[in-house]
Amino acid sequence: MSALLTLPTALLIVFILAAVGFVLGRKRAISAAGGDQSSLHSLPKQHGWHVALATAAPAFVLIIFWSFFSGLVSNIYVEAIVPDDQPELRLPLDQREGLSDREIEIRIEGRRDLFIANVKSLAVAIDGYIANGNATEAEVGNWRADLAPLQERLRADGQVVGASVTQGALTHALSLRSFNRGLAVTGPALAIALSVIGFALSLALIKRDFRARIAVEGWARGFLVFASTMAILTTVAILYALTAPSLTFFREYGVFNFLFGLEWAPAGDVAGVPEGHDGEYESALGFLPLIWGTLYIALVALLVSVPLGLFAAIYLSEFASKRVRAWVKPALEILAGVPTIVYGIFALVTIGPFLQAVVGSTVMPNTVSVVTAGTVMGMMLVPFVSSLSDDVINAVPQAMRDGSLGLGATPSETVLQVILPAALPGIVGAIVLAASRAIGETMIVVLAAGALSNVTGLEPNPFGAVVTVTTRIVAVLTGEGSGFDSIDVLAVFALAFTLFFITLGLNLLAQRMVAKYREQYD
Amino acid sequence: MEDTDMNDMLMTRNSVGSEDIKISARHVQVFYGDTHAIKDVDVDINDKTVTAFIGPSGCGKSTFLRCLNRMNDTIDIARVEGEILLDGEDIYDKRVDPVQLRAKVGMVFQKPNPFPKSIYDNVAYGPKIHGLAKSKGELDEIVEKSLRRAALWDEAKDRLDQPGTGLSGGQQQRLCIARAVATNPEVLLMDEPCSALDPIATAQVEELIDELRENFSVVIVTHSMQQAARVSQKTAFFHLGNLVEFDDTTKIFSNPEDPRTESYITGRIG
Repeated sequence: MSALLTLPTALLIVFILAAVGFVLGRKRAISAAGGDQSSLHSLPKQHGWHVALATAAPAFVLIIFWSFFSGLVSNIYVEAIVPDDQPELRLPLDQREGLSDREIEIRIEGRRDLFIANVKSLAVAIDGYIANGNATEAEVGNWRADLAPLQERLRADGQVVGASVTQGALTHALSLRSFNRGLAVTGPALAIALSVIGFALSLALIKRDFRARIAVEGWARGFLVFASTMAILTTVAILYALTAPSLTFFREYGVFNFLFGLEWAPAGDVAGVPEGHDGEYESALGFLPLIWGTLYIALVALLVSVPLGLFAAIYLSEFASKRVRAWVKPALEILAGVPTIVYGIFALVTIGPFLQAVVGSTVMPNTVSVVTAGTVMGMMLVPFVSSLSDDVINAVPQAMRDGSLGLGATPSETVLQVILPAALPGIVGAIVLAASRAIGETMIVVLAAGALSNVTGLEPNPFGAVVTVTTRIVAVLTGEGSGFDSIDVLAVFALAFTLFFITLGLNLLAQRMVAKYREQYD
Repeated sequence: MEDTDMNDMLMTRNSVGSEDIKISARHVQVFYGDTHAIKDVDVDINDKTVTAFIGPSGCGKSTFLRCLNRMNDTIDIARVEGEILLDGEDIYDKRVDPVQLRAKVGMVFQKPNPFPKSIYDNVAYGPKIHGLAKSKGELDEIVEKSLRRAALWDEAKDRLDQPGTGLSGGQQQRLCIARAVATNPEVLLMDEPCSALDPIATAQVEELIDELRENFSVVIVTHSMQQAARVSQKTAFFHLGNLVEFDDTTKIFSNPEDPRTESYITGRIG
């Protein structure tokens, strides 16, 4: 029974109930009218919609929130059930030698995180074991860690199991599982209950003078508000996911060391366990070489895309005939639809070797370089810049053009002296948006900028290989052997966190500029 | 009562006018795509005279005005036939540069359209483009003279560096007139210059137009018959793309020959 009570089935039940509610609501409204439909305040259809929405909407919202937050709740639960004096958390005496209290504290915290991760993965492994039909719930409840080689049994079934399965871990995993089961059933049950209440209440409300039309309007507005909040909530959720690991990283590694470090060389150190002398990490995780590479490439990309894109926009909006415009604009927009990985391949196999042949391999030892990635990224951004600039140039009133042409100015003089100054804030906004895309761009730089895993200092040669923030995030997260508990992975969160704020700042700046421009003509 | 007012004005303003022909249009036809917007129009526009084009909306008066400085060139689908002579020279001849022509035939538009620049730069725009001033001093002189001609100098002299868009509607329109006269044109075309202005600003601009007549040949398109009667010496009545009647303003408003003109000025069509 409880296996059937999942969120998808609840969703299905809610929708069926809503459909039934629509039909019933309509019927009830018609019979309430007693043959004279004009005596109803709202149409029968609207009464039907009101019942359907009252049945489905609250339950729907509950289901969405439940699926977002049940994971969060179960995390809080597992943090709470692991006591501080859990035997597995104790740091053996031989590992305490020569460490200060602060360092011991950090290590114990690290062990706690590790232990909790083990508990969670064990719970997932047991779920999978049962799902594969190897055991029943009742059997699992009686399991003991030393009973048979539990770890081997789970692994033999293809489940991922952490380092060691202790009795403590197993106990907590089992109670976490039963808590999760309860959570999984409560959500759908609540949703169904909510929809039944909505169904009954809204049906009971149907009378001649019930204002269903206005009530439906209210539901519709609520739905729209909900949709727009979801987008904002996503941003908040991203920030939430990034903040905690980033703060841990900043605390452990030091904000200053990170932001102004000139070397990036992850060594796979485990978080909370600095291994070098004086309790330092062997990983060097300086931000400067990465942001240098990122901004260098973005600069080249802007040098390519801004003139080309702007001139294309001027041509299209001021000089091109309607027929040319009808052809060229879609062609440019096709360029915008090319996946970035394709641009990356183009950079790697075409532009890179071409540039190397032109400037010689003494200046350009590899085909990957700042200019390789920057040029191709610039091409990618041309349609972006041109279509945004085209919009702002077209927004300059025709009266400005007439005024200038009427004074005997040529079209180029008009563009240069009247249209561009008028559109400038909007164009600057477009450029800033392009810059923020260039900074966040990943695939092109992964393929065409260079893939050094260790860098020191800032590469001045535009034909030299660099690393960027995004390529390092990809490199650390897609392997090179560092586990998820390493300081390097935490550093990646900090990179993403910093990148988030850089692009956020740029976008805000762009929005302000565009807004300022709008004021001029309203 | 209004009739007597109008007659007074007709007596004072409309009696004088030069007889030298500045612009002479013959068999002018304009097509917008498939639409035949102007049908075989002949008009002579005298120097140092205000000529008014009147007629109901869509009659082609603005279209015809825009032929006189080739502003229709900027519209892809517009096609102009016939000949328009400015001082005896066909402005649609291949050798004529429309850009130079527009410096000689200035234009003021329906809605005030100052550039988003300072008042000074708005007026200096044309002279700078055409290299009319050899020094900053000369440019200053041109700007002052133009603003004086547009009766804006007293209001604007202390705020020349402020944006032209910050002026009131009537001031903006006078700024646009100053901008147009700054290039020292021979003809000034005005496309309903007062339709976006309040009555007081309208009166100021009308007075200005009357003063401009001393130096320029002015052609004004207007919706308002009273305005045509007040400011012009010659009036052309357009209807459905045809030039119905063209004569002295006094004649048109007191004793029109064509029944359509009479219907229009008495308010029966339009």
